[in-house]
Amino acid sequence: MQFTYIPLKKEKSLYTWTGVFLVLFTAIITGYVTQFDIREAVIVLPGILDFILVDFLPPALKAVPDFMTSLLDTLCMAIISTTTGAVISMFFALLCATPTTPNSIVKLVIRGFASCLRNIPGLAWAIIFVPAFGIGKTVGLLALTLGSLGSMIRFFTETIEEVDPGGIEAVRSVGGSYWQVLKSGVLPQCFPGIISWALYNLELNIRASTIIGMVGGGGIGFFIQFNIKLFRYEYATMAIIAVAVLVLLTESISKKIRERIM
Amino acid sequence: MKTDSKITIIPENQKVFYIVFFAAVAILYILSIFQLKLNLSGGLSNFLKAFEFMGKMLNMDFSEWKDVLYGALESISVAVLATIISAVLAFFVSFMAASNVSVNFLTWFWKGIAAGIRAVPTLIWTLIFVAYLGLGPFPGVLGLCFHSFAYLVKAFSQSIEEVKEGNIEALKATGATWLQIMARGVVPPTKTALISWTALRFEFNVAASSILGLVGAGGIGHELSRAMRSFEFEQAGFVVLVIFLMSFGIEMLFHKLKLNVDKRKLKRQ
Repeated sequence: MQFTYIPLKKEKSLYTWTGVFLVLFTAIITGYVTQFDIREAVIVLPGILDFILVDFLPPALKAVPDFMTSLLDTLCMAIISTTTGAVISMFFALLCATPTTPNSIVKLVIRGFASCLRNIPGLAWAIIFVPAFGIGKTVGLLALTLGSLGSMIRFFTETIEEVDPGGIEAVRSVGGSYWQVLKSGVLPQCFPGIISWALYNLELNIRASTIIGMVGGGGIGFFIQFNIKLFRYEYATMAIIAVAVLVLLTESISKKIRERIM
Repeated sequence: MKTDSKITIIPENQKVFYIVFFAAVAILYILSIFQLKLNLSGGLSNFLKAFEFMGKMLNMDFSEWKDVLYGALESISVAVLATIISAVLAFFVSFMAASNVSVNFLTWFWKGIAAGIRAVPTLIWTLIFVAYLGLGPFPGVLGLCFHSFAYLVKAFSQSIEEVKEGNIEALKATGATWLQIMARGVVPPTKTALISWTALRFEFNVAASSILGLVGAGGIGHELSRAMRSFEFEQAGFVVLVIFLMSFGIEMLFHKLKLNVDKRKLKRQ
């Protein structure tokens, strides 16, 4: 057996340096546009840490009763929008995925529709709906549902497209109709994937619904922003901790469910 | 073997689980609706109003294009800068946070910090920074950096932990120092994953930076909230179009560059 020594190539290090240079160059340009000064950042950092540690701590326990309802509202908004979004997305995804689509025009239209919804952030939807529906939970619900539709249609479509074609062929070969193909060939296989994506989307929606309140969508985001504006930072901290606990709790529950079904 | 036995498509125990799961979802859904006390009486007229406003938005007004495009540039710059800074910092920290190349104490420390930061949404971090630093893109960059850093530390250290033990062992056997092991054994196999994660985070950061303006951190979000607050739907329509194009363009670009990380990894986290 022969051992060869592989030297580091010269060109390779040239690539690396070009990359480093390009990144630095972009950083400088963008720093100029945003007037971001790294020295200033280093100088203010201790101040920020001090601000967070001194002004925001300790969390005010007495704020808990004030925001319990809005926290629950936030959770409910996330659950409703994810479930509604998942059901509608499932319908669209079946129309859009290659194995189950009725024709390619429908597919293209739904793809474009999903892309439009996906690429406009949920918060922007919320702002758009506020003038029509007024500040409140309806805005939050609509914005979250639309936002989740965009991403879930895409993820569900991908999941359905990854279904083993053998199953579909098997049902077709014994004379199964379109519905029978769906029922026995497609759906059972993609259930785990779809539930898993929906749970992931629920996590995203819980994060999003906490901030959607800041632009008038109801829920705990409003409480946080309101208290920061009033300089009652300890109250805001308590609410932020509650949000973090809610996020971590949902993550661990959905992880458990995923492990069970995958 | 009995002749009448059926081959079930979904195993029996899974079936029970699915039934319980869907029943639980349905109950939670109904409970949530009751909790929110949704009032749909004025619903239809509100929907009509929403459609009317959206119709106005489609009739775009380009007169403020200078401000809007500058806002877009600012937003993208915020996203780029935040991604670069956080990726560089996270790169160095992730070696301390990966359990296979670091010591227990450091791993717990950094993973704890990352988990803590990540649990609080990006916009809330920005809100805190805006409260301290005042309005403008500067707190926006810092707020985005904070959350991206935590996210990337987690993603990077996970990629490092996936490096085969053999690589590290082999280099150790030759008497390589820790730095040499990192440079030759750990960085090369994880390089693609690190770049993909950064690209994924960049995509997220662009979406986030376009709405940072809503809490006072500058950029195109500020234009949107300004236009909507003064009921200039035609201008808002143009802003939404630009936001869409920004985010869509980056999605397309990464699709072309094949930088799309396997997003399924996300849900395995």
